[in-house]
Amino acid sequence: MELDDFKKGRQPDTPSGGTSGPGGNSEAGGIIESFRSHENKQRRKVLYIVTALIALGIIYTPIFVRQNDIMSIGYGLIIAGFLLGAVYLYLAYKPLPGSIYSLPMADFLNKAENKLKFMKFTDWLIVIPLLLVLGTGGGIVFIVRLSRYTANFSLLLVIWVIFFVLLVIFALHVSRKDWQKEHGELLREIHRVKRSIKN
Amino acid sequence: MKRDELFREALEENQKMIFRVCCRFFGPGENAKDAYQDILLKIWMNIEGFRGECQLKTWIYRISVNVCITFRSKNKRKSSLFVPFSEPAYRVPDEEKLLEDEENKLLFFRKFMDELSGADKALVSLYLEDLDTREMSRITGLSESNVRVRIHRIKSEIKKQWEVEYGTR
Repeated sequence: MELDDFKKGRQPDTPSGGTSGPGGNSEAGGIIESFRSHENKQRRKVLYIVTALIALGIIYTPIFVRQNDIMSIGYGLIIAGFLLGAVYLYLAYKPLPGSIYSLPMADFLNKAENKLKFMKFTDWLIVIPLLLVLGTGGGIVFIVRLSRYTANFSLLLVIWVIFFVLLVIFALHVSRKDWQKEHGELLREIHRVKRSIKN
Repeated sequence: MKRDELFREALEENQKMIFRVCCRFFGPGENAKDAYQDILLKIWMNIEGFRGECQLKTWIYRISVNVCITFRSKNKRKSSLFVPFSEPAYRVPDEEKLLEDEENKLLFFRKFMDELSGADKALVSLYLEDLDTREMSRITGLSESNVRVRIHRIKSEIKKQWEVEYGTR
């Protein structure tokens, strides 16, 4: 018994065994239709995200406009942080782009592995300044609002920093879990295939 | 040329090959059908970006292999070990024996494939499509010598395993 015994002819070569024949007009037409509806759904998803971004901007802009100097800086930073963060999330959390599937397998595995890693070095380079912008903006608003009740600036600052740091840690933990759930198995499989290539 | 036309053309020439590759990866069950759909979707979404840097067939093989490697891990369903046969009402004894042998071979092949790594599965699929070493190297990104060594190793292994299980028949 040889591997060559399993060459063409021993495997079914049509998914349905239908009579229209492979690539027949009716079959191809049906496939194209279903893909078109899939593409429309994907487009709608992008639209939802863009709409959410615009809504965020609209909600915060009137508040930002009404504020005095220091508060307007705070709100301005919050708006900038939200919008840039949402754009970053949208770009970073997109699934594997279709174009990388046409690369040779070894290159595909490298690219896919790189895309699927949670928080790469470049991500930290973007996320840290973003968090600083959000943290500063939120901190300004928090401290100015609560300074009506206490003159202890340091106390307010410490409360804000502790709250914000805990919030960031929680958000990172949840995102990591979510990432693991969505991409963990795929990433492990890619590692396995890459290891087997090296052997 | 419009996307639909390009896609139809690609499908017409390669549909059977794509499904055969899926069946070799997953066995002829639901997984193979799902992976096949996924491959067609990727082809449809990217066909306009195909610039002819390689042959269309090579480009489609790459997509097929890459989708099959990553698809398996997304869906944990076990591949089907059983190949559907069209059963006649009765068979003469010789014919029965032949079909039994055939069935054993296919079951053995599926079991063997299930144990291979994704990369080796891809190589077997391409080898069984009668592709030469250079073409397999272009599709997988492995060097030609690496492809040769791996195919040789797989051939020896399948022979060895068969002999352990069924003797030298």
